[in-house]
Amino acid sequence: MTEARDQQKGDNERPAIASPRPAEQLDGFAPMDLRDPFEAFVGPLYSQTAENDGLTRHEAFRVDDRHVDTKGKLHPGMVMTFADAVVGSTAWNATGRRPCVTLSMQVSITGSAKAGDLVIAKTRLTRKTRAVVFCAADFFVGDEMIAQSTSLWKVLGER
Amino acid sequence: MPSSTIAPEQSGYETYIGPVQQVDMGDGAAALGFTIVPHHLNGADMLHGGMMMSFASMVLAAAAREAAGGDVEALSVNCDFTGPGKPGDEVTGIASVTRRTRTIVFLSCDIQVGDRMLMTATGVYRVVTND
Repeated sequence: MTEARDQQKGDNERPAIASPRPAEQLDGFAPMDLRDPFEAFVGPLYSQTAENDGLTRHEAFRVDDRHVDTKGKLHPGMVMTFADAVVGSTAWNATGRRPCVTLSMQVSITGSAKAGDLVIAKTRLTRKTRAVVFCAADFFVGDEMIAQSTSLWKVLGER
Repeated sequence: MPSSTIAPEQSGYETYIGPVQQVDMGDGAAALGFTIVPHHLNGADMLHGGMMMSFASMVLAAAAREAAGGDVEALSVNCDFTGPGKPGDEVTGIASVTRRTRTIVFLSCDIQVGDRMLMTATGVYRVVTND
């Protein structure tokens, strides 16, 4: 959910950082305002424009030559970076936009993607306790699931 | 950090996010390393989790390739974040093979700045065969 993410990230009053590649027009998605330099560096990344609760939603990015390995396949590291970026905002939204850090993330690579493919993440909140948030995301190219991730997030200052 | 060279077999993504280098830890142990620069950071000016996990996947894959004697593909990577990294830190990663079967390599790796742990990771890699 772009707005929640932007409000949260906007709390530190940093301007959004431009990605090195221009954003494209995508049906149902708009470019995220990215304030983490590493996310902007690998971006643009997109979030769903349709109304949602910020806890179950879709995000996307277009695979290009910066994201692939020597065989031209999407690099697992980019899958993990995208997962961290999109599921991170789920955790922020789940905690009323309190600072959260990644405790643990597991990614299974169930398929592959190549340059030109649009990867869509379907992210969801699994469970929230006072101090820990559990999230998951599945990643698709068209109908094919190419990766799955689960992650745990720590709400800073809670125990 | 002792002698270092650019790691071979770097892909588009690995070259783009780097530079990541091969480092000799002194006791003959092969490792990869990188220095945290501005494009590696998150919004709190600490090392971004995505970069840390990307680096861990490179360390695991390099050791898996060596163990397999050829090409490998990631099936699963699990990363536990134990501490933050800050700009200028020299990050190193060393992997060890837990078990190698005919088709699968199991590994773990430690990502550190000096003696301080940033991450422990485990990986399961498929050995790519050409038949």
